[in-house]
Amino acid sequence: MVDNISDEIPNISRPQKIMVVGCEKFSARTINHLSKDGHVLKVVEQSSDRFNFLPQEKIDSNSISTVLGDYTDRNFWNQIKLNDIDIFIAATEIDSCNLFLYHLATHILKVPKVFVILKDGKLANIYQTFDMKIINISELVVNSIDNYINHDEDI
Amino acid sequence: MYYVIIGATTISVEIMDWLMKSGGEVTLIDQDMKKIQLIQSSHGDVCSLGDPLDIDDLTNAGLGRADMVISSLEHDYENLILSQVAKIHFSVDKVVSLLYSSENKDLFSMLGVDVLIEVPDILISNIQEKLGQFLIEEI
Repeated sequence: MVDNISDEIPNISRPQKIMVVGCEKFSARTINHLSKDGHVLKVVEQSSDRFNFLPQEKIDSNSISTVLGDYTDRNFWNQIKLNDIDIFIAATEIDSCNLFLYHLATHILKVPKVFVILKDGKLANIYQTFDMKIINISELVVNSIDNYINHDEDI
Repeated sequence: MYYVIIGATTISVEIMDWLMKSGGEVTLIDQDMKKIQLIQSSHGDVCSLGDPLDIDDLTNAGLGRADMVISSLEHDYENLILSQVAKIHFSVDKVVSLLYSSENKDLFSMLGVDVLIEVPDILISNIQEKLGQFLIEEI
């Protein structure tokens, strides 16, 4: 399990091409953060309204591109070019959908590095036993509160 | 044999009827209280109210002692992950899943789902059969 995405994506000379599936507020912040680090982002979402969470200047400068489509539909993925994607992040609001996308990206689409975001801590613990790169939101929140209470760190 | 059916749909209730008639012990889990009440009114105390993808709710429904789990949720991604959780966490011997998009068959097979019921194929076969009879009558 990883503590956060940035730890796994170091500031190296070559910007990474990253696909993020799902654009709710949390993932939009992550996308913005990764874009500031110089990575090139492609964001997939089913609802066009959610692209409003993304910074318009980054879209205008093509450092963030958007793709609208049903990411649960295999026909959609058959039409998407993924051969240049270094990192895939499954970040929709539904855990089971993220796990489905993890399996799809890893086993079928053969993306080199795949991360999955999970909200359900128990589900995350089950999948932790596999060699999966899981970002466990509930654990991050608990750790953050623990650090604030017991170690006087800012949340 | 103890069967757990995940998701209350017309198809899953039909499956439950058939399994109960053949003498099996069956529990159906769904998170919709109205659906649960409706099924309980006709079938007795055979349902468990809970989130089909919540580990505690699945434990309460007795997945740990199930001989067979039948996943009949609405989406392939839900059925895929439920099937995998049944296999890897609850060590269920036989896992059966509904499949709505045949293109996902590779993922289900890869993750060890024992039996796939391809819903569109069944529907199409049935429609062809019915239409075929109609066309013959026309001729």
